Amino acid sequence: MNDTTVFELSGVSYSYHNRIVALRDVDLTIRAGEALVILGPNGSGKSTLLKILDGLYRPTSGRLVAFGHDITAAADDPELGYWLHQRVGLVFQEPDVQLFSPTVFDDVAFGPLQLGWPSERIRQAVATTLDELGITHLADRAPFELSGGEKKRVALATVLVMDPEVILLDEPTANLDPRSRAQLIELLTELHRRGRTLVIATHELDLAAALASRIVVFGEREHRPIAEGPPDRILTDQKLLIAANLVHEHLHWHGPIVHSHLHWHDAEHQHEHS
Amino acid sequence: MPRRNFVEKTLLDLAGAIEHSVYAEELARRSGLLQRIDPRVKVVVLGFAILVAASLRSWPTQVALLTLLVALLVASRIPPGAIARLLFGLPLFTLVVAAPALILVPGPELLRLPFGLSVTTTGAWSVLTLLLRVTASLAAASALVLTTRWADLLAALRAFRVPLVFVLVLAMAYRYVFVLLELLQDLLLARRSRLLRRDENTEQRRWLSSALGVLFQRSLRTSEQVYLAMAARGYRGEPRTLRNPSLAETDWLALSLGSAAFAALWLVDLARL
Repeated sequence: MNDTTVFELSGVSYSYHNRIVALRDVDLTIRAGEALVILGPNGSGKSTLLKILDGLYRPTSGRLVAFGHDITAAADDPELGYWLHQRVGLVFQEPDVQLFSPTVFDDVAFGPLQLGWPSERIRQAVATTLDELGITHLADRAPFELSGGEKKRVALATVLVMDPEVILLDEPTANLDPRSRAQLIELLTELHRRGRTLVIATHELDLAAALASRIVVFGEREHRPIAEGPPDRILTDQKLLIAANLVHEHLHWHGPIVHSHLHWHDAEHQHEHS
Repeated sequence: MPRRNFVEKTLLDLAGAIEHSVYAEELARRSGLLQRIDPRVKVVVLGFAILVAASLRSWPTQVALLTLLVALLVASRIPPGAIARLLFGLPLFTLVVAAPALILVPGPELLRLPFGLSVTTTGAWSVLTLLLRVTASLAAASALVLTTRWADLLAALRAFRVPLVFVLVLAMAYRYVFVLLELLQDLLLARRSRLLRRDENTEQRRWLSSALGVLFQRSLRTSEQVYLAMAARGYRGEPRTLRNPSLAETDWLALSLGSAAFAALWLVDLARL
């Protein structure tokens, strides 16, 4: 991580149809090379924030600066949007919307084609990306033939092939089986190690524990950050996690004994018994 | 197993359509003769075969054409069951439609029937010609569709200067019809799992219209999200595709041999008349 600022949001708000508030007066700075996890429950505005960072939604109010340029109007300015999309990639939560071409190869080639790369470079880049993600064998498959985990990998490939400086990921491990989930976390860790800036929206604490270099917690009623800090501080602050609706009291199994107590899970499954 | 109502039956048929498409893609990926040939060549040669099938008039050349096309299907590892359905399915339907011609077309009597009716030789020949034409055309079209992946077929359309926007819309429509069909299936199963008695037709119709409403809503939302996903990867309203690679030597050979074989049949047929 270095001190270069990638995104600077000042007083950013967004409402759907001018009625439903998704973000309220958000101030946030994202630095190059960090793995920032936006942690929040459903409906706290995480996905909307990612679409604003990618210049797809125009903030209702506030200002957004990316790489030193004011990109608040990128959603309404195709040239500005095009400039931004060469440097920032977004992996959508629902891979089906991202895989719209007849084959995996066509989907991965779509971005580079829009960037006007020469054919040979595109073929080479697609082959390399598919190989890095271990999905070369899927190149000729139609998206409807893929499993959930494969779709996620292909969706990530469609972004990685464009070699963006920043990768935005919306609930990247949602609906994945344990193996696919572990593979994806490993892959994202490697991307971060290579210096990519990652911004990950999730409500899963173990994903945050595995990937984050910094966590920003969004409140479900506030629709803006209510806390931020390193993972070891945020993820051990139970009061904060309860207030943000990220952990809750529920039934829990210990062999034949069933009891309820306040707890949350991390990778090691540690918790206190009352 | 409760008796299926019309809604369920229709939707299960739709699910069958998904399975069929997956199976067709699997056939198109097999390492058969036609699968190895460039789709552009197949479109030209098999398109020409359909033209020839529609023009042949003598039965020996028609039988020869059909035999050639069936041989191509076999060499392309299309299962015998699928070929049999092709040869006896739709042609049988054609026979039902064309049957009156056996009696109505005037000509020398071939077979006497009750009620003063008779099958004429001319009528029998015209029905046979029609049957052979339909079967051969169907075999040629199937040889193209069953051995070519949908994506390659679209790429071939591009090569023949079909407008890119048209091809793109076709590709996306085919892509998302599966997403929507899966949703429709889930809606059906969710309803069925909560149904404790046989429902009336009125209820079924009401449910179907509400399901279609959900589907429409979902398709609108999906289209908006798909557009955002395209824009996020640099799309600015102008579709672009990779250029098709040039034809290999084997493709040129297939183009020449295929066209020559079908043209030869046509010439023989003309010479026989």
